[in-house]
Amino acid sequence: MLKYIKMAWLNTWRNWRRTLIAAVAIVLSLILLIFMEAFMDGTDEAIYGNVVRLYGGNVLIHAPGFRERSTRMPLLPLNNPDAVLELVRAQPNVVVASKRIITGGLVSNRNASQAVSITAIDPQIEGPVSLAAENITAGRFLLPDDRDEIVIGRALADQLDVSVGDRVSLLGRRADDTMRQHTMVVAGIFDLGLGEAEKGLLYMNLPAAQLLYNLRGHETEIAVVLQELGREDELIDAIAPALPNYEVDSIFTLRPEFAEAMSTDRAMGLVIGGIMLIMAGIGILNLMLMAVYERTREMGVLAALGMKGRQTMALFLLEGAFIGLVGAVLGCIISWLLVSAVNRTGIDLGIFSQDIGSLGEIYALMGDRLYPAMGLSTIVEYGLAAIIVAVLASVIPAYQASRKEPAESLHFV
Amino acid sequence: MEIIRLENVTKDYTIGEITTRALDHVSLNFENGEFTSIVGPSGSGKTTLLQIMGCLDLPDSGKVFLDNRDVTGLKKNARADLRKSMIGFIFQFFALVPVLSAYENVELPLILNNVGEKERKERVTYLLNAVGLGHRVDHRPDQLSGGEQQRVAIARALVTDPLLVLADEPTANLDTENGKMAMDIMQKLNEETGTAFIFATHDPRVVEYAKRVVQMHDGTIANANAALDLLVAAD
Repeated sequence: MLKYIKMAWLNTWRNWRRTLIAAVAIVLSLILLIFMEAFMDGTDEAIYGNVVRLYGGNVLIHAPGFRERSTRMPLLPLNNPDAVLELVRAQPNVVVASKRIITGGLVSNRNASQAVSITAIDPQIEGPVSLAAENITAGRFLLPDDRDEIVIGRALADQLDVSVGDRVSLLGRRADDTMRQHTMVVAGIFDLGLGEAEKGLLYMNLPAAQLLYNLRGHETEIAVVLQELGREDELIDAIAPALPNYEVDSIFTLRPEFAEAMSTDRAMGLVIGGIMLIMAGIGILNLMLMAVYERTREMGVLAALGMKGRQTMALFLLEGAFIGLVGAVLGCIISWLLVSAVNRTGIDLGIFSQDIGSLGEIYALMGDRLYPAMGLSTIVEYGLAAIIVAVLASVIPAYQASRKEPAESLHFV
Repeated sequence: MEIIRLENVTKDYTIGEITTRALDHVSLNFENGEFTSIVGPSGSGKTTLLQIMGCLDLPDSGKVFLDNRDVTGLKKNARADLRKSMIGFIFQFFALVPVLSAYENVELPLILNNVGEKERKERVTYLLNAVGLGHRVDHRPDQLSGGEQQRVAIARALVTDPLLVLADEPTANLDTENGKMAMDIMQKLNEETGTAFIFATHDPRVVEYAKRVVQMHDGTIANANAALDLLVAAD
């Protein structure tokens, strides 16, 4: 077997120019495929990571009935939230778990109005981990004694044409379904660079919201922030059995549009990349057919020596595999270097932010800079795919080589 | 002892719409240890006869016996198995594998026969020394002269200790000196090993070495034991 491998390897380099051209086709396909995958992964991480930070947590716990009406953010008080908090905080990987009220409302002044998602938090607990608190550009974040103070995003402030200290009207639905309007003061403005996604966010103090919405002593949500993304299911599996009378969900269960959009993008990327790899495979098919044609007499000699058709076929398949291997190794190394280099500086999406924002909220969550992300498994997978494509492309030529009659091949000039 | 027998063998080739009869009811046999030339003008069927005898092709009619076994109806793989252990080939164009060294080229038939490494080394070294190339074992064909390449081919043809060696115009691409060297070696090995050598040739240098000459004409055997001196005189 080793001799066949050696023979196939040496045969691969008999016409080194042709081999390199075929390998370059694979290299280019791999670079584009891996970079696209890295771009997709970076997009997913940007969106995913920002979704979690923006909407308050990896895992959210609500009273029964919330999930069904989650888009309307109903005010369903939690039963015994302190016990739930105790259970959650005892789990590994939990950074913060806190009580909240979330509801929808409308903020307005004489200039404009905007539907908002109102998040009432305990600033002492969430302040240190809040994305908004981290990015205050005017005024301050919430304080524990705040009553009428709110913190809004730059995009909303611009739309309402307000600055710190200005008053706005906040209209919301109370627990008894009556509407309540209250005048609030802008205490702080944050800027996450998320454009449209920030417009719908408004933060206020939890005790103030409890008063405003007739929920004294109650909360409607427990938000859990984890150390690592992607471990939501682990936490849910750990605590859900102990919380049968609660709805325990990951952010992606409650916002499925994000997960759907990401899977669609990824599928498109794979299709495009797959097509490119197949085109590279066609190049190898052509090269191998030429090799079979040129080496017809040689195959006749090998057959005369006693080499069987399947052994001849194995020889050509190995040669195809080696071309794929050369292309795969070079392609993976160059791809890794390219992605690593781009990852250091990121891709500036600032010039596209208007266009990206118009695609919808999910793309606004990407932010202004994108960092391609790539794992070793991605490189290995695509490298192996390239080798498989090269081998598959060699099947027809190898089969043709194996079928030739020795006498006919020996006469071939 | 008879090693090959052809009974009423016919072979036609069709190229496009033209069918050519390459062998026309040929009956012939060869004995162990022969050193025989098959002579005839171009198109007389020499190469086709060698291919049928070497199980590289099948006759359209008639029978072929190798070592008293009817090989006429054998399938492709079975014929390959026969060739790898019983028949050696020498070609006009040397036919070495370009990417392998002299040693590896001679070794290849033994690998196909699943011979162990130690035995392969002994056999290959012996034969390369016998053909005078013990000092060139690591050279590839593009690093060897024509004469050296043909000597490697001779060693390769004999490495499996075959029943017979079929040589198609073995000296056609060699100058006088190398052609003589090649024939001297084959004659010596024929005497030492007892392996039969059958040559298809129209080179008088080769015919001179033959113990027996078979004359062909238009796909038939004109004379299965032609007198050498008459042939030489005719030339």
